[in-house]
Amino acid sequence: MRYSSETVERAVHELSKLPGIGRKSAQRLVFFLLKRPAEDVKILAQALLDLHEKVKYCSICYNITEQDPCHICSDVHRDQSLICVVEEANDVVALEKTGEFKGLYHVLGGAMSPLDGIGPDNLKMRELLTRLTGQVHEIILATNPNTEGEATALYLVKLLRPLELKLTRIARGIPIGADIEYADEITLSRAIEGRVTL
Amino acid sequence: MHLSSLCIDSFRNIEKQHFQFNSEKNYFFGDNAQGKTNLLEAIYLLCLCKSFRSAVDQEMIQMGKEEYKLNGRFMDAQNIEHEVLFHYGQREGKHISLDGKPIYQYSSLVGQFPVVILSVADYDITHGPPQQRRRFINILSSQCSPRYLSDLKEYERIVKQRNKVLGSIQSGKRYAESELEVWDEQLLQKGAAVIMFRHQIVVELNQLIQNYYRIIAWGSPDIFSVTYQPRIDILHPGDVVDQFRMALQRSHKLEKMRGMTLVGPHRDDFVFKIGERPLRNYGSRGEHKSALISLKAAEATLLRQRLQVSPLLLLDDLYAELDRIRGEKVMDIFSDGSQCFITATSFDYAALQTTQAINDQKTQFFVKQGIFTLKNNGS
Ligand SMILES: [Zn+2]
Repeated sequence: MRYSSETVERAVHELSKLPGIGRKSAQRLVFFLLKRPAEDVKILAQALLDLHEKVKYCSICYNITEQDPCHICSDVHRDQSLICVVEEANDVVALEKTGEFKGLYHVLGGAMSPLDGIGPDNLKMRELLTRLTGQVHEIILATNPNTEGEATALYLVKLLRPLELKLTRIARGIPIGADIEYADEITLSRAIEGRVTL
Repeated sequence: MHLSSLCIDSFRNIEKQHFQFNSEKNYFFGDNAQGKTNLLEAIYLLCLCKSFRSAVDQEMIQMGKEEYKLNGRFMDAQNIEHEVLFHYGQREGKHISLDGKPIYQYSSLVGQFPVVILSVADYDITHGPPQQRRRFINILSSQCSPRYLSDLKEYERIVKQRNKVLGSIQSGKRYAESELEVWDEQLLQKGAAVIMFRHQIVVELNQLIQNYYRIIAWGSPDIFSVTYQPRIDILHPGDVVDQFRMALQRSHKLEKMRGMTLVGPHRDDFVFKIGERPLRNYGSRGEHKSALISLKAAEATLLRQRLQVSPLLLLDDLYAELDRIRGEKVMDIFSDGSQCFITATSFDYAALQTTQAINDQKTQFFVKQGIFTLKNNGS
């Protein structure tokens, strides 16, 4: 069905380009927005515009930021000898929440997936290499524990091994706070596989 | 474990139907194409989240409807009830929940309500191409071990990714060469896990099928066996990764020319033999039949042994393939504490009554055009 208003039609069309939003959901969103006070919609529109005007990628770690370099890269109190490599900016947020990690990050911008046409050249791998001056002693590979994340980690190991740095991979195991009794069998069997000597 | 009740809504030719089941044997009598197999398909779907007829959800919706719903209540060995809800709508897609909690990864349900089916389509296991045998082993192994299912799914994903890389190399993109190694390494690890589990399952199957075959084939002196034929030689289960690595290195050149993965468990086969004869090419009709039933009985026993739970047994048109007396004997071997769902024709019903194979203790339904009627016991 098409609307008599070309403006409505255009808004529906644009919204339905978003991931996970079909034409039906887009229509629902448009009618919701039409009923909201103009001021609220303006705030939303401005927030969207600002995304492109204010947010950029840090030229060192490729995390999203409004200032370049980002607040993590420019923090002199952080451990400059440690770089944690992650797939997406979301992962930085998750790791920062723990408050445990005091080093720096490097955001690859995804993981290797030939099926999606993503190879090493589409990720910020060469940019990582240029950061490895004498200061850096350890690289933590914190890509996702799935097929693509694992492939990316293996590729980085191949790339970084000649540099004689300490290379570590985050462990996959039982989430803290979850009883062994309740962990699913796959998590449990992998945790046993990845056990460490004490 | 048993299925105590089932509600079906707009599934195939079944409009709306509520069933209460017996924990032992449930019979469904009716002519062909009335809905007997559809009921078995619904039960199978609740257990494994997929159809044994390899049907897609859309074609399982009743004609003229937009969605189907299944609601099954299982009673586990500790007498705790579990409710599985299965809903597929043309717009909403598929939604499954267990005890009110939505299930996002359907694979997590596999093995919780183990099931074994025997239907005409299963004749392909001994007759058909290798993929039918891999499918049989995969369903059995996945129900035995969630880890196997997870390894298998990852392996299949790696094969797809790797094929894409090999395809790029084939079409002359040299840079893809550097990527191949990381997929090789994962292919080896996950592939070896799949191979080792299959190896073990075949050992366990062999311990069971010989005995079942002897009983089912009327004391035939021949030995029924299954051999695992992986694409790589395994001398010791311990060195699968190394053997796989060597096989992969040998086929690299050819793989790059063909643009696809040529070695690994996705190309495995399993060979069934009666005595020294390969069943697939040299078996008689009767031998195929007895072999298949032995295999299915062994599948049920293996699930019972490994999971300490009796699987549901779905026996579709059992008597059509066997004479009725032998059919009853087969049932005895099969059941062993399992809840059985048996479909048969009205013709079988008359014959079974005269041999007193069925009596009023067993739940009996009559099916006509998607409507199931419970036979009123003792009235
Ligand atoms: Zn930065």
